[in-house]
Amino acid sequence: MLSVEEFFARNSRGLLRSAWLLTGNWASAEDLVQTSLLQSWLHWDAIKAETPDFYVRRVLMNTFLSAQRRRWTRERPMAELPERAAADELTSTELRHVIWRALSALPAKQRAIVVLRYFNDLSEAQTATVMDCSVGTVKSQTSRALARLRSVPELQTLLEEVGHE
Amino acid sequence: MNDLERRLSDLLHAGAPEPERIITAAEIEGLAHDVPKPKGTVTRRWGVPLLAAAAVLVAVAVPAIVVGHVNSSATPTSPASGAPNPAHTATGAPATSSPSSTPAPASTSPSSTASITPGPVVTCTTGQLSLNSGVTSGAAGSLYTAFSFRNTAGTPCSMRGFPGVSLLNDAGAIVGQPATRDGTTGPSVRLGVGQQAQFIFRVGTATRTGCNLPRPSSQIEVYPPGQTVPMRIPFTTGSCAISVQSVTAAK
Repeated sequence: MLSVEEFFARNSRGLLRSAWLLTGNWASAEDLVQTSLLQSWLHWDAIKAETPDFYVRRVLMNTFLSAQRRRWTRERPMAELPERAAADELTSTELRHVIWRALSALPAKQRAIVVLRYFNDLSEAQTATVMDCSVGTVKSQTSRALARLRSVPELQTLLEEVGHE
Repeated sequence: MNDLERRLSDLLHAGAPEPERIITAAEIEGLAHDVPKPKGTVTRRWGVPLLAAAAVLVAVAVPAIVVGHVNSSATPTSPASGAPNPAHTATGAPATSSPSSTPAPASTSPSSTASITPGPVVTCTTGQLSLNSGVTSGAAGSLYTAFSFRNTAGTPCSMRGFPGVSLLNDAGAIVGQPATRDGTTGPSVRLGVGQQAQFIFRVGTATRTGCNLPRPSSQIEVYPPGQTVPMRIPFTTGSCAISVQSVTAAK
């Protein structure tokens, strides 16, 4: 069985990146991951036999969503980026700005579902388990999120181009 | 997955930045560092009860002043029996969050504390409050979370005493026993329009108390002091050792 050290070593990077996609900054992302891992560490005996990665993601999402309801932690929209022509001109910094601008346009819950579905690669059913909602909710929130993301101009360009590579 | 979804997935994988540092188990262990544990019984020392959520973090490093202590029984069937608690008779909300038909103990009204809260201010009702959870931080075998009530109504109100707190499972059913009370009843807190009051919620670690829920909770149910209608927000824990402090003014 996985030890808590192994679990953290394997998941810390992925969790931090997920948390960055949710919050758009490392300070908040680290806070989120620390809180989630702390809960997992404290309850390791209870969760290790089941699915610690689901547990830790659930804590992460719950913590994120409840923090979003507090005014002082709500992120401010980023300033407009200069127009860019194509994806191959984007540096990784610019790419992350585009992604964050697109994700930050989503309501928190949709953003959480997008991260679980398309970054953590969970199925609809798994996402529903983590989010503690129905599969129907995951589907409807996902399609709303996709529609919204598709309407973000810079992202639209990128979404078209990634497919051709 | 359709094409759009696949491209989005590729983009997120490519675009999510690499973390500047990795969080290790040792670091988390440090956060949750535990003192040698007596079996089942916890003697808790509280700092000044007006700590803001951020200040709770400091409690990791700063030994607190003793205001009162409480024995949290590890036996899930009798959370309060081993805890003679001066607060229990003092005020407020039902300590148990059992059926919401339980009438509110009307013994203490805010007007009896007029010296602390001047003016005729009515008790805050559930309907005029919003509930938020704040930062969770760990210290000496416990996790502390600051929850805040905000007065969302157009008129001031006041509250005093302990909220009633329970954990709920996915189905919305109560799991474990309601939170016991830590410390004494604080003074009445007046909430102007948009102002907040907070309370500190403690979760003991499973290793210390040996008390685990069958499955982690997904929500917390909170009865504001003196109210019979609860509020719910997401809260995940696998421990059933929970306790709560009296409400205080939030900064």
